[in-house]
Amino acid sequence: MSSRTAKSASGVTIENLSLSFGQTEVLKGINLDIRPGELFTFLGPSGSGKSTLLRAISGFGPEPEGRILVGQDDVTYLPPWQRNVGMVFQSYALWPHMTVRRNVTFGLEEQKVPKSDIGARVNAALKLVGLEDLAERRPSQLSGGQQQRVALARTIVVEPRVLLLDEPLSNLDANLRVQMRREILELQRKLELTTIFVTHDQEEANTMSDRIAVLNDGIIQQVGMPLELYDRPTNRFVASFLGTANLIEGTIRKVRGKTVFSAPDGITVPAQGAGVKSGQDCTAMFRPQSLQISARGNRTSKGAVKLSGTVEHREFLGHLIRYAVRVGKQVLLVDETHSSGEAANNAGDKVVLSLNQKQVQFLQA
Amino acid sequence: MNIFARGQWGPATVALFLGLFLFVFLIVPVGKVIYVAFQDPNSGELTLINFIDFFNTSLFRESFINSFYVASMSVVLASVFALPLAYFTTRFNFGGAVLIQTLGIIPLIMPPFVGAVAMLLLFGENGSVNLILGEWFDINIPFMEGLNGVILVESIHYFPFILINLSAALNNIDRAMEESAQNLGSSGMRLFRRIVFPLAMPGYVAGASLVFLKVFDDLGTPLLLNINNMLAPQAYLRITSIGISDPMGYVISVILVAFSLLALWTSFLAIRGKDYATVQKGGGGLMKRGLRPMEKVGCYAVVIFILLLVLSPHLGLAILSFGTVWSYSVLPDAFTLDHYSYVFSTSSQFITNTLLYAGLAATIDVVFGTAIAYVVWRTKLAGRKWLDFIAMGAVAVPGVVIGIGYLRTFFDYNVPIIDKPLASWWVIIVIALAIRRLPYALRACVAALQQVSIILEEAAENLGASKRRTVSRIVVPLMSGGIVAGFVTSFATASVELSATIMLVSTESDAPLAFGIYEFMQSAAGRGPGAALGIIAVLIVGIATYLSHRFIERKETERAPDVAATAGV
Repeated sequence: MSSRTAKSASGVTIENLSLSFGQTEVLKGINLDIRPGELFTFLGPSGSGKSTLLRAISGFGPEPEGRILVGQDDVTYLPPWQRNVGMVFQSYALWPHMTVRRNVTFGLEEQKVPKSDIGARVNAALKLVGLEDLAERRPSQLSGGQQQRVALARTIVVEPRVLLLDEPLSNLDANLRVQMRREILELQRKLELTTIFVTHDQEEANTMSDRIAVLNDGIIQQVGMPLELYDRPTNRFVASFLGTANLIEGTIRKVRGKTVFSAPDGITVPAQGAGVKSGQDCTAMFRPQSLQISARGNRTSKGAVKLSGTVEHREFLGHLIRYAVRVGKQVLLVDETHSSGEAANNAGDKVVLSLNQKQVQFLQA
Repeated sequence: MNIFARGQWGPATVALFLGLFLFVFLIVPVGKVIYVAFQDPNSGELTLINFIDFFNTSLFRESFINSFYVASMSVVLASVFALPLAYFTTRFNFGGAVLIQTLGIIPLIMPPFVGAVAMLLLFGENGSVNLILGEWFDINIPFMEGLNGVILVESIHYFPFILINLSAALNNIDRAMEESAQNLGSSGMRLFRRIVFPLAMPGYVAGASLVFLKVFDDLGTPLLLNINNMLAPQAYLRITSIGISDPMGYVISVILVAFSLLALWTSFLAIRGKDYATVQKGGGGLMKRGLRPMEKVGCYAVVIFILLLVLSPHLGLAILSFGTVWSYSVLPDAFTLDHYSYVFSTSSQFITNTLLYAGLAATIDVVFGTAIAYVVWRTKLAGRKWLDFIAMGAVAVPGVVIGIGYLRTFFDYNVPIIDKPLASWWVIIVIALAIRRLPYALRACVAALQQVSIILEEAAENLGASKRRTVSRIVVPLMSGGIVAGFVTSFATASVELSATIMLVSTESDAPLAFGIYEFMQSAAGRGPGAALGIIAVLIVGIATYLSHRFIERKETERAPDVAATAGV
């Protein structure tokens, strides 16, 4: 089964796709190139258009403008039942009037697979998700995780060219979510099936994806590997949607022959080689863990930018302590890893923050 | 919990009173009927001899088969009317879907026997339709011949039960159910046959079994169409012509109750454990799709044809009420308002009696319905489920059986002061109506109570309100939409009830509308005034329904955002 699927694995190409619900434009000129066999994630907050985009690929929802190609085939105007893109629904959508086996058999029957092949393929699919023993149960007699597996088996058994997963983990509790995450990933690797995964959870996206497209407001904000997106976001939205970010607005200037970023309240960071033109407004972005906190007067590492400030409050998060430190008019977040017993700074303490300039990104938007 | 635990005294007293009421006016009379059916008329011993006699009499065998045949065929015909309307309006983007759904429910607001005479004039052997058909194609179709007439009238009247249940079921199917089938390659009729219809099946069966039950028990329609060889008319005729001691009326009653229970049981089995029709997270109703122009024309043609057919009793009745002489012609010779002035001058007591009886019965129903709902769902009283169960049991008791039971049980009991048997006092009609319509009001009240989150009650108690104060200040106001819905359902159906009242009316001055219409319709000369009364009945029911809709709508918009969010916690 896996070999057959691998051979037929197709990429998905989306060209200038726009889509509206009545007057509301939900997708605005989407372009994407999803490679055969990769696990690709649409990540975004609710209302960003990620589910609409997934539904457009499977042929549901209003007719879009632009083109959708699966492999070399233009499927834009095909009805859902002729696309052979397998979709796992958020609610699983298992038919309650059928047993697990009947659910999984359904697609093969609809696609006129010879009766002699159906039994073996259904058994193989059930085995793949570890549900051979529950084949005669009704969906209502299964746990959430088991229902999820049935939904997967039902979709995989027809050997779709692409697998679409619409927030598949959102109805599961936290522990099960982590487990199913691994199982889905394992299955995807085994079948080498091009998979598109929709989620609003950055942890899910980071742990599972080969590549991620971050969506907001119907527009693709950035496409890249998880690490790339975290370390080098290209705009404020991506920077703050993936993890916590300090964002300072300012301008790039030439000061004594050197290119520096300077904020109105005096924070200045060297910006050589940052690829931003002099005189331009931009935003400096750095993660809380890129700052080091130390009591004022202590020695700090050389070559780093020094910022003096006052601790406003702190939050204990277990593995780290997060300080909010006022520097001029800005409040910067600073993370300090925590291991037991170490003294922490208190609210009101005067501190010095040091920032390695290599950790700073300059965003044009 | 102890039955008299703190705070349970009030509910326990209420529950006891309700139980007593149901015992005296439902269990005792029905029990009496069943007991008499198994009693030897001479010796008084328990025996099966009456049932043996019943099945040895060819007229009764024929009546039994006829009733069964008529009820089954009515389900088939009603399905033919309801299926396209339900499917088209829920599945396609269809102009006027709301109008169609509303018009589709109108037949319910007129008792079937009222339309029967109008249907004779429209579809009878010499009715308008056959006169036209005869002129154009030289054919005559026996729409109203014998049992056909009963089937046509009943299915036109009761098909909304299937329409309502099936539409609700179709609307509640999670959209993803259908989409996932399409995603796996299914479409068109196969999709409907394999996914959509099976998921809507419980709704369909619930509606269909209700139609069967109603038709099987109906007395007025066959009587008015002069079809006497069916079960309910036989029971009525035996009791009114031979007498209250004739055992055959009781045997027929037992058979009617048994089949009603069977129909309810079928519906229960269909629904049990198949609560598919709840929309899952992330889902919506069935996806609606647009229609191509030719499809649209076809759909509209079917819909308009069905609507014309199901509204024909009302049209016919309206024409009849304004017509002078209507016989052997497509339309009456001339039009007049005489029938209306006649009924207002001579028969206005029918109207005032109806408003009084139905109003009282509906009030009793919502008060008791609210009380039962609260006792069952909000207290821990022992045996509280039985209250619900027995009250709902009235659904399975045909009007004829209630009528016979009351006559038999309460004729010997003289009401003090007025010195009349309870069975012939007008109050007994009100009680009969209240008992018969209690299930409708009760379901409406239970539904309304379940919408009220228990947290809202706890908040009131936490702030110092006693149980009684909480009920009157929080629960009842929040239930008001449902209570009004229950009142109107009870009122509307009670004001056109015939089968129990026809047996309990002792003097013309105590008679309600339905009885008056029935009396008028007996003679050709009375048809005009009868039709005028029928139209008045329709108007009363229609106005009440409209007003309640407005009220409920306003209530819903008032409390939509916050209460809805906490409902069902």
